[in-house]
Amino acid sequence: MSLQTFNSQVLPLRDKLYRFSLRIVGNTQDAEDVVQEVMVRVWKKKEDWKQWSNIEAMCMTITRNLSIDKKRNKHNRVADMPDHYDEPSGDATPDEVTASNDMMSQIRAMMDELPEKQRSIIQLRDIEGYAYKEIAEILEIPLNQVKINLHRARLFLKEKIVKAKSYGF
Amino acid sequence: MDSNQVRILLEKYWQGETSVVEESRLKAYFRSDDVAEELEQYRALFQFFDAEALIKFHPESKTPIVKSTTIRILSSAWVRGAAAAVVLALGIYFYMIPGQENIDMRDVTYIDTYESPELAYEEAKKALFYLSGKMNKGVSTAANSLDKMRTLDEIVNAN
Amino acid sequence: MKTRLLIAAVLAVFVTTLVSAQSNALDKFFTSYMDDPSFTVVTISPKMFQMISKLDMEDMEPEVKDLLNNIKGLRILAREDYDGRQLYNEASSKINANEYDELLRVRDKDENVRIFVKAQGDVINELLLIVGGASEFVMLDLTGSIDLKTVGKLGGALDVPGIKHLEKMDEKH
Repeated sequence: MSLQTFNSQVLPLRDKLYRFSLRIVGNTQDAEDVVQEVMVRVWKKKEDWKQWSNIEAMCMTITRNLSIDKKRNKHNRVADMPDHYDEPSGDATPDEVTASNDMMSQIRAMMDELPEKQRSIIQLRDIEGYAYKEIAEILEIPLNQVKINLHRARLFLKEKIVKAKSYGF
Repeated sequence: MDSNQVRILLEKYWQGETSVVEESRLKAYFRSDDVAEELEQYRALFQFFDAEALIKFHPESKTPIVKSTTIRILSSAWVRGAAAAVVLALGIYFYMIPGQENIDMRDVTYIDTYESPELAYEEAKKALFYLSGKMNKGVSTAANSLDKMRTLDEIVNAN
Repeated sequence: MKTRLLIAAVLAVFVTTLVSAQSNALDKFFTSYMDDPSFTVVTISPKMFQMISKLDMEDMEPEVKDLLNNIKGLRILAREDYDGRQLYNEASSKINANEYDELLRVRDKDENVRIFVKAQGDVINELLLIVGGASEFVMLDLTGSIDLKTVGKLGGALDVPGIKHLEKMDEKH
């Protein structure tokens, strides 16, 4: 039954899709809208599911594409993003955060400086734990590009961290 | 893990050469209290990853969404098929206000299949088109008795 | 955690209230098949219809919008890829002639169709559609304030082979 498949395989993905979208669009409202839109689109394409080798990867890809479009249409400047993200919307920051908020916002700001593809790779690997093959499928890039971009992204973050420390943050 | 092993792993990590297992070992290390001083600067990064992974689409504090497993405790007859998230609390409150609605309390079957109005709209629209097709089939089929058609006509043209 | 307890408490009261409420043969029919995984069950509550009426969808035809604004509830019970004629008979037998008026009945080589309504004056506040074909069974229960003329205007296809094939209509509508 397609509804059962939807309920058991698609609906549970929403948290991941939301986090992924949030990483790209930078604010909770847009990310929520994107996830809802993805649900509708995937549901409408019910007949195509059998052809999808990996429903989860497809959902993530759709999420990314919609998020990129949304961001593009909003003409957000990169500098704005950390502000929106840290707005007290009450639902972005989990209670379990033990690291000081200051450090967290710094890391977040560093992430926001990355180009979208590298930022997304960090999200997919370091936060969601996807394998390189899955990341390649989601981002629609060749497998060797995954490692290269991941390396670049992590190196960037490392250098930022080291620099921040040397400035005494 | 001693700090030497961590340093080695970290070098692999920046190069993009760690496995998922090695990465979770790194995360675990930076969650502990025993982080070597010169590695302390990287703690925030790994804790950031931990924290970000916890973000949910509908955090509990915001929207009362009940997973079907909770309903199962009370009555399995209510749960249909696989785990479907159900917006329940508001709906139930709605039904329990006496005299609020003219619909009788056949509410055991009114547990929403869809969680979002967008999805529900799509299905409702389909249902209406389906109904319309069957209705028009009835109207156009000669097999209908004249009485029935007149009734339909009367109702349809009442306004 | 507190939210869960509260919801469980509310549900508990709800269950007790429900047990004492009357339910007619049709409800029993629904309930008896609701858990069967070979059946498709769709339920849209009044609360959800309220939310639908607030949606801002650019491609919503006015007829659809009108209808949805006046619908209070929808239930569908369906079984696809299955000879639905026996279920059709079973469902038909549950319908109380004192409660519902038969609006129309069609019998052709493909399927049997019956539509029942409950009307108060000119206003139809419940509509039941039962379809029993060689490859599907569908029971659709609409409550609210239903304008048959508008439904007819939607112009659904006459020969749609089955409710699941309605996705194809998305391109046109």
